[in-house]
Amino acid sequence: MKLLFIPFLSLVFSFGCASTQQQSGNPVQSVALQGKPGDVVVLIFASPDCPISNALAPEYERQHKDMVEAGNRFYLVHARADVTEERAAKHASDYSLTMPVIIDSRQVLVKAMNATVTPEAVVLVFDEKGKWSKVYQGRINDLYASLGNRRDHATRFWLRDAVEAASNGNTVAVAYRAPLGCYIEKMP
Amino acid sequence: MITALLCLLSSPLPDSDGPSWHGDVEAIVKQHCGDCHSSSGPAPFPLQNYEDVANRSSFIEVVVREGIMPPWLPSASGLPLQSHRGVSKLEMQTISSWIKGGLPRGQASEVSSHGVPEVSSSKADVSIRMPEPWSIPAEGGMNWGRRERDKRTFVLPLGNPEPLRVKQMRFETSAPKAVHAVSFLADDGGYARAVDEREAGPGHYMTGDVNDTPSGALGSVGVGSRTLLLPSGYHWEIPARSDMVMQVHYRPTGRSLPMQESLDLWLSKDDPASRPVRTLLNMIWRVDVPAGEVSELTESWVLPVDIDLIGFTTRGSGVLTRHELSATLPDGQSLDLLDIPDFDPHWRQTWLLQEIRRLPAGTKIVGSWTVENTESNPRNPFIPLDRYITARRTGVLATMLHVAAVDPVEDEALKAWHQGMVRSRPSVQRALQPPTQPVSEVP
Repeated sequence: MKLLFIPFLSLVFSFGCASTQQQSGNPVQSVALQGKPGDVVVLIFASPDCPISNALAPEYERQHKDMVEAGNRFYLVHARADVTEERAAKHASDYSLTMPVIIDSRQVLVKAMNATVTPEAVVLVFDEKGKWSKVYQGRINDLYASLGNRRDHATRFWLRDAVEAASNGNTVAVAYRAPLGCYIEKMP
Repeated sequence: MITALLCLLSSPLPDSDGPSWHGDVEAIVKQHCGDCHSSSGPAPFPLQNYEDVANRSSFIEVVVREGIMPPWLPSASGLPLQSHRGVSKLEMQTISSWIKGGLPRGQASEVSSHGVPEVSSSKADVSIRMPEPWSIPAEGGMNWGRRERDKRTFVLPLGNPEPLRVKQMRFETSAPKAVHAVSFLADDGGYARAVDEREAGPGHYMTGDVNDTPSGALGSVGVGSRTLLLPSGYHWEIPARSDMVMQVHYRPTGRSLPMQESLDLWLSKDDPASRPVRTLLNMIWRVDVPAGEVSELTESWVLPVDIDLIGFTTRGSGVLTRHELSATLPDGQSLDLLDIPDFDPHWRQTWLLQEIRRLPAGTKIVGSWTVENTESNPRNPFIPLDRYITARRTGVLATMLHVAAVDPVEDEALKAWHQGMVRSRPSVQRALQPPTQPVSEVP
């Protein structure tokens, strides 16, 4: 698992060239979220103690592997301000998650994407103009029918549908599905 | 009405400057949330102090306002129940006002404890544990019969040479965040053990019933209520050389969790007049609802002897949305016993009455159920929609009334009457045909 830290307010996810910082053991290196036309990136806003978010962990891992295989990227973004590196690492270990994890301790991505709950998905596509465009935001699947009402298994997979459409260069049929989950308490 | 007024009067009133944490909200949280939302409790995060609650205040307000938390199925329309966890409207308003007021701390003060029945802290008389762990899967799904896969039944040998009179049970789980309702029965015929041996690994999938004894005949424990304490003067009767059969209803959490459960029993030793608690089934044994339809079902019978009603255990799957149980006394008076306006199988448990209710012979017990096999039922496991058809000798939909014959002499008559009623069901007659291999679920 890679842990990526969002530094203070230096990141403005401007759909142009967003940068993150990656912890690589010792010094913190700056990395840029670069892309080429057609690239697809998924961000999942999550929380280590949100049961709705955690229930989808196996689906995150499956989708991460599928996206990597297709040459795309999948990030888990811890949206709560109080998530430490240690806690994020334990969470990834507990839930067998191997994708890069972003600890958005200043909620920079949360604000830039206007994320409201965990889990909440964002699909970005690198367009012909050299910018990242948001093509989908919202629910991952219908495992939860409503708050407190969980199905035994999901039957509709909206994030997968959005990624498939974006990967094929098609318009995502429904660009926003109101997310359902634990509220992200925003920092002042 | 009097009870409702008392509840309102006992609720903390906001002070004139608006509610504060120490003055108002802390007591509400401790009473309704603290038992589960502890570091070792079944809830996903603790709510034990100001920071825990303030950092999630907007989410808490929504789930409380919408009745999602704390989980408590019965409405106030039925008989008053022990350990009520529901939040009153005034308490909801207090929480909302506190959040709108900027989450003030107020002055530290004593917080009163709540009315949980006093359970025994002495060492248990009998302690049993699953001999080996079983892993709760990371995800749920359907089984071979297109039914939920989130249950498993385990057999815990008691090895009791003599019958036991149990007055209290305490269940402990190694996976509190995944294990929800757990139901018990005693099996002195080795039937559950035989079913268990047919399946690899610890436990078995089948429903947990043993012939015409329903899982839950010895009660169920749920989230936030892991102890079951009968009122003084009553006991569960467990025959000699029994196995305790335990059906565990779990909710996958996204990661595999090892589960090795234990059960402690306290016996009634010094009360020779203690009466055995019997379980009477009010049930629908067969359900057939076409895709997209809603069905209203009812079942009634008349009590053959005077009984003391102690509590209820309700059972049903995600297609069940509403359940009511009522009584019509011989003088024509009606009595609402239990009302569950929004049933969720994961939050079921045995509900014990605050006060034992005596019902005379001739009382008609009427159960009614609403089954919604529709898209709009958020818990319907049959999505995409399909015909829902199933049968079970102990009831696809059932409420177990935990009762005791008022006159101990009539206890045997009560048992015989109930057995005759259950065995009169067509499915049971068919299931009781030889071969005698134990069958727990009627296909």
